[in-house]
Amino acid sequence: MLTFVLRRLLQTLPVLLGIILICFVLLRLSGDPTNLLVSPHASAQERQLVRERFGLDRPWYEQLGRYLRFDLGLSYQQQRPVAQIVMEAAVVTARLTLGAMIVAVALGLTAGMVSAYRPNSAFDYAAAAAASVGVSIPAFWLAMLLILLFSVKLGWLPLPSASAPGELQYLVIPVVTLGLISTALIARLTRGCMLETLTQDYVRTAQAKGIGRMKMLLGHALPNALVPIVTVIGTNLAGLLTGAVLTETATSMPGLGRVIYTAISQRDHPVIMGGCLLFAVVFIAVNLAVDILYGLLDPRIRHA
Amino acid sequence: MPDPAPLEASALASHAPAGPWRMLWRRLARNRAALCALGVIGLLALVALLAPVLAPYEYSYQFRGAEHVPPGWSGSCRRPEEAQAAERSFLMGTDPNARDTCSRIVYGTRVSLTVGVVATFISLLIGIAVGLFSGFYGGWIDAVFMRVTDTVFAFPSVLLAVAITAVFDRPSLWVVFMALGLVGWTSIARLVRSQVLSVRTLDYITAARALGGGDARILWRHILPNCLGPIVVAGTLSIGGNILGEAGLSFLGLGVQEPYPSWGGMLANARQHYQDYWWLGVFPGLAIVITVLAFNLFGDGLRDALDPRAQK
Repeated sequence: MLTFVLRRLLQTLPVLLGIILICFVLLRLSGDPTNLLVSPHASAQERQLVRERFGLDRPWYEQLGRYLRFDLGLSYQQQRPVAQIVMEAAVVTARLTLGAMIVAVALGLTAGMVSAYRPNSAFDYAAAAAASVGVSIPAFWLAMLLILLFSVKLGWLPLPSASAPGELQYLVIPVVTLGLISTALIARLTRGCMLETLTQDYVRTAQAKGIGRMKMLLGHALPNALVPIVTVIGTNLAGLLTGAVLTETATSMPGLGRVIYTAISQRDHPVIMGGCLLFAVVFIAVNLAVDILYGLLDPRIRHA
Repeated sequence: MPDPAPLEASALASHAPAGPWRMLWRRLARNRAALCALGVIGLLALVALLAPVLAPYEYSYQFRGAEHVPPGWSGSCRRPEEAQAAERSFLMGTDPNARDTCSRIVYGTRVSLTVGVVATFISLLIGIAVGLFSGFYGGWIDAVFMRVTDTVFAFPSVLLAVAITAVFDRPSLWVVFMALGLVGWTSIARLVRSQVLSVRTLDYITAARALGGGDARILWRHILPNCLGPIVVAGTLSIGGNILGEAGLSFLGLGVQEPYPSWGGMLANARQHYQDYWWLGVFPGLAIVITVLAFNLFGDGLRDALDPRAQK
């Protein structure tokens, strides 16, 4: 097991390097950032000072080296370390994503299992239709609709506000939005996997022994359907994170998405890159965790 | 429409066996959701082509005094100074700049469909090339290509697109094409590679080689056609994904620029206003959902038609 974990860990290194390289190249492609930082009338001396402050006077390999040490540099606009800005925002996004994940897994697993319990029932069709819409709807639009319904029309929830993001009632709409979007995928997959395992011989054996359908679903089909479901939950995190960028923008939450959005409009390149880099690292880490979890759930994979 | 009479009988009657495309169409024709979706896609294409004819008004025309007119059939401007817009009707209302929402949505179809198709085309080009070479040659080519694919795949796609778009000085349609196209090819490359791997060792490839077929000919004439089905499905589904991606980029202000309308951009503009004027936030989103849903349902239908054993 340990060698398996170590091997997977080593395999992520080139990917991580590649991502840093992409970020760096994109940052360099955008031209000399000095022009963004000083007024066009600045003297050569002033320009030099600014270049030194942001490390732009160093040769390119030294600048790349800084990225490799995860030194993200200074924000052009806020004049503070990018790492600090990004980490502050990441806390908000983490809370949002985690909440959404819980909503999605709870709803998705339940809906998928109920669908598999009675395939081709009215509930099954309704769930399939809802799932089709769910994968086709932009997260930010769903958030806008929920705000229109629950904040404007019904007045049950407060209007989104950037100043009071921590309180629970402000989290409801973003979390539910993001959760519902991923629910569709998980529900579809759960249904498919459950139905497939239900055709297996061991399920028939269990049935022959006279066990109830509910017990068979939970005790025999679910554990075996879990591997693909865990994968999708993991890979879905990428979707969740990009959805978070858009949902935060739509609901004015000061998370990573919001920070990246503001950075784009202010052309604050180090913050954009820092944010993207953090996203990518989290994504890789989750994929790694999923792979390891895989190994735990299914011994065959460990030795492949 | 193909004859709904028993398939076996009609296939026997016409002596030539039904070609793979005909069989595909027959299976597809039995899937009502997919057919509806195809109809919607056809309609959307028509709307995009005929936008200048179908749109009630010019997309950027400002009806002074008719700001925030709610949707309705007859002119809803009551005040006399709004005479200019008095007899007009705005099916989906007007925006804060007094432009007709319906006309803007009609023109927005052009942006969404173009981005969906062109970005997918770029993804397909890169994905097919990478997948074919990786799968066919294996070895170090495969190793390098697959590591690159992993790397791009590891990047949350919209964020990579954001990074690419943000780097360019002026956001434009071309940047959106490239951003989405350069991000979306990874899953297609993996798919093509796995297809090639499953076909590569089959006897007919050996036969083609024995007959003196070169690599290029074998790849193009013998391997690619056998991977076409899954590629078409992935391409169709990725059109929907790219339309969603474009909407997201436009929502972040990175897509097509004003005054030209895109659905995501319209929603971005609506952010400040839709809580008071609901139609600004509702109609463009509806357009996105209908379009993406159509492509997704059609893609699902294609997949089922290509692989009758799956599903059920």
